[in-house]
Amino acid sequence: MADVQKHLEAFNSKIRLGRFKEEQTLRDKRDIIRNKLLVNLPAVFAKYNEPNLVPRFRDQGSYEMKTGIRPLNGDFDIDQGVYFDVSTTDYPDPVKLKERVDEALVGHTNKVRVRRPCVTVFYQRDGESVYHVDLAVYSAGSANRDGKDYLAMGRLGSADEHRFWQVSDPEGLAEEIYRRFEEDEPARHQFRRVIRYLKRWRAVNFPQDGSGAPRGIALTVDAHYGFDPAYTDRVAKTPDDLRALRSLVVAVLARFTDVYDSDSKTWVRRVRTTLPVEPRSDLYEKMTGTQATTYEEKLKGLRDALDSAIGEVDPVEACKTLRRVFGDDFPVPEKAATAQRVGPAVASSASAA
Amino acid sequence: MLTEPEFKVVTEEAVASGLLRGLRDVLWFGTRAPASFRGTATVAGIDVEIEVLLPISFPLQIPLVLLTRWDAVGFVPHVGPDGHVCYQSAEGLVLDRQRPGAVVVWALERSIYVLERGVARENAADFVDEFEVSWYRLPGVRWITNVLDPPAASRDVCVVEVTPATGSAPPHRAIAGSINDVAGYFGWDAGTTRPTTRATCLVFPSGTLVVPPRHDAPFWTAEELRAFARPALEAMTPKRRHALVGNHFHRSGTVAFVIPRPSGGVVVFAVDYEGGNGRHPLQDNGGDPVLHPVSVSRVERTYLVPRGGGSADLSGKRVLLVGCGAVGGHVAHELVRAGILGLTLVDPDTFSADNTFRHVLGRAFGPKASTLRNNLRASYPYVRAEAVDEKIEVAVEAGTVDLRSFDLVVVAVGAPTVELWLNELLRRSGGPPAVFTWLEPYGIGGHALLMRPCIPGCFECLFTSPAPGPDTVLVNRASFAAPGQWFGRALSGCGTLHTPFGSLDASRTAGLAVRLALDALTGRETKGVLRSWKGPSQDFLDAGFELAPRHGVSEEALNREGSLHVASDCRACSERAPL
Repeated sequence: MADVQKHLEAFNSKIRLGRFKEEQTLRDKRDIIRNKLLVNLPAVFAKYNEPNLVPRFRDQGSYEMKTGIRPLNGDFDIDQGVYFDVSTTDYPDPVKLKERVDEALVGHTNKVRVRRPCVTVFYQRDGESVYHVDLAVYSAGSANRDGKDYLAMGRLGSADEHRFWQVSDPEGLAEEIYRRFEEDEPARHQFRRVIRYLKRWRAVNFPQDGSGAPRGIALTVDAHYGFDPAYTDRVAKTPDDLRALRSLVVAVLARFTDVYDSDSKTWVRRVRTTLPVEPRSDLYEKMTGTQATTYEEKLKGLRDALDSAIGEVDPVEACKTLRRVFGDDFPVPEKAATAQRVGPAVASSASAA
Repeated sequence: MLTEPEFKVVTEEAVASGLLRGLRDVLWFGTRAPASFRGTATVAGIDVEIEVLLPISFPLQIPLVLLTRWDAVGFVPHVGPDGHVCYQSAEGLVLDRQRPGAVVVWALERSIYVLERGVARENAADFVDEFEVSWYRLPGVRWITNVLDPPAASRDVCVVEVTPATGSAPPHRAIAGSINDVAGYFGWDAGTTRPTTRATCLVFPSGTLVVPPRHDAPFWTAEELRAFARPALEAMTPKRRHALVGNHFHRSGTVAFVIPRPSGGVVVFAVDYEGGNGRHPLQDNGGDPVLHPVSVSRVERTYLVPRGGGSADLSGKRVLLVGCGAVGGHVAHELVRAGILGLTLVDPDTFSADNTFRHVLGRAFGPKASTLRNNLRASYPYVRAEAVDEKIEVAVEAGTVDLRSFDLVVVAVGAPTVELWLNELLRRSGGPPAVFTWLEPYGIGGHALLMRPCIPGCFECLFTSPAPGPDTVLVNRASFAAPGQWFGRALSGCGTLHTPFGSLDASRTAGLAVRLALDALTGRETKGVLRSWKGPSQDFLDAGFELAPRHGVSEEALNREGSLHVASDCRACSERAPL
């Protein structure tokens, strides 16, 4: 087996969001929006003769869970929770609150859209979206009798049945996921790297639009259920990302089953991944049978590529195989250095007594 | 401590409780003096006068409850000669100092309960438990030191004069099995002599219930002594009895008594006899010598070691400690405190002032091993410590140290090269198990690894990478510091190189190592395991160093890994290891 760990780690560095560049830009945009809402919302509420509501903010999504990657198309995103201390009964129409948010941000950039689960602020350069901030609007648990947070669902002009408050617990999800490796930093870091690999694999191998590609949150929750850390040295915690990713892919593949589809009256392939917090929905719900079949085939392709890389002796060949599934950001070394069978005769030591 | 109004409330509550009536002699002399009051209480139908004495620091201390006439309810346990009712040990109590009255009522309730049990003879066994206390309260009591581990059966013992009488001070004497016991306690050199006389130690069968002599009556006559000793004498065969007290021709001497306590352990006390007829006073025709009660100051090994939390069972174990530096120094002391009294110390170094603030001996001079040995001998009785002021490899080659004569080896050298050599030697020679211990710079952590020669898992496993690559890696896989960094720090020049860590790190590492050593010796840990403690990394990182991934795992999770380090292709302990 060739040692490709360092190349995987180089790949990881390449695809992860740069803490000081992209993440800082996103943080800046986020802060500007937070400020804008705090400044403009009072006037908006006053205009509609509604009591003023001061929102609280919380980071969410891959940014908060540190599993974000650089998008292939250059459109970076950050998820932001906007919590209002109103109960769902105070605002029976969730879209109204989203309209207020939308209105408070009008003119901020040339594109703000009320979408089904959020209000999105786009930042564009030369007509291309370069950043967007998704604002998820909530009725905060502190205002609701059951203590739960509710997400405002529905867009302008949605029919009534598409406007509703949806129980949502992104904070609980982040906690649940963090808790698994709370006391094990090497495992936590590998967990995040493996999710990033999968996300990049998805970006390279699936069309960007539509429901054919697995959602990022689905891949994250799949990893939460199916990931186990793998090490070449379990004492020293020397990571073996290739095997960790392979065993995760195998675990996901094992959950595909045949399901009878009453609409098409055929047997189709399906995979279910349940959100571990409310609303405990199936994160693959929107995938059609055909799409699920494609997804499974592609996962098998990934598994085979990983197997082939694991079995490869030459790191150059192993990296070439991996580049075929992970795309051009995956590094391929110039030439394999001759494997060194003899170590140095003297080394420094940290031991004392 | 109580003000007069507070004291008044306390007396009122005592009366309101119904336990005390006819309040009288109510005395309060200010907040800096004890206060007291008397009243009548009913104990098992008997009306008795009780005095409640509140010490100056009450309610930080429990109140004293006294019977005005000490035997008002008869001769019962837990009542002292002054009538003091020992109703509760003050240790392990928390008093509500905001409610002094309730504390006094509680004290009265407890006292009456204890007295009523005495009247009903429900706590007669407590006479045995409390025997030593009653004994030292007898008038005219003498004192003797005891270094004799209480035997299971009656036997001959001796009394050694530790220091002779001076002026009006009586001689300091010790009960012992032999003078060697006394030498072991006082740390005398071998061959020291002292005047020694024969004595008798009489052991009572367990379950024997006895009543101590009354302190207000003349002490026992020889006849009363013989009656008291009967259960112990009758427990022996006539032959044994004759051997013990039959051939005895001294006009004076000492008899020590050992009675198993119902609540565990034994009580030990003694009697001196003088002016007898020459026969043993425990013989039926032993005459009528004058008897004196002798209270025993107990310093015997089996009494002292468990009081320090150690195990008396370990005292026969022999441990070799290689390395007497900052970690080794703490290891030596903790091993002895744990009850391991046979220790051989090996270190070729000499103390220098540099390590004064991180060595257990502080400012010490001379060779490390012998200086530490002397310190152990001076600090603890019964220690059998030896020192070898040589390198371990030299001592082993020369035969000064025979590894196989030990029950355990603790290696605290902090130099992996020598430790790997010693590890291999121990495995090859089928030597005793070993605990390897070391720490890392800037307090980021320390480790202890148990190696058992007959099972897989050893120190070399830590240096055997399971990843493809060279056979031996000179990197300790358990390390919290990333490999390839240099930590030696010279404060003044090449000769004064040292690794930065503090005494707290050394003692914490030693604690980990000694616990593992004890677990190995007692069989609680039967596998080859690695244990680590983890410290904060800020100082380490601030100094510009890099951590290994292992430091990112919690201490708890690391210590669950146990034997994970066992390397299937280890050069020293796997099947491919040369025999």
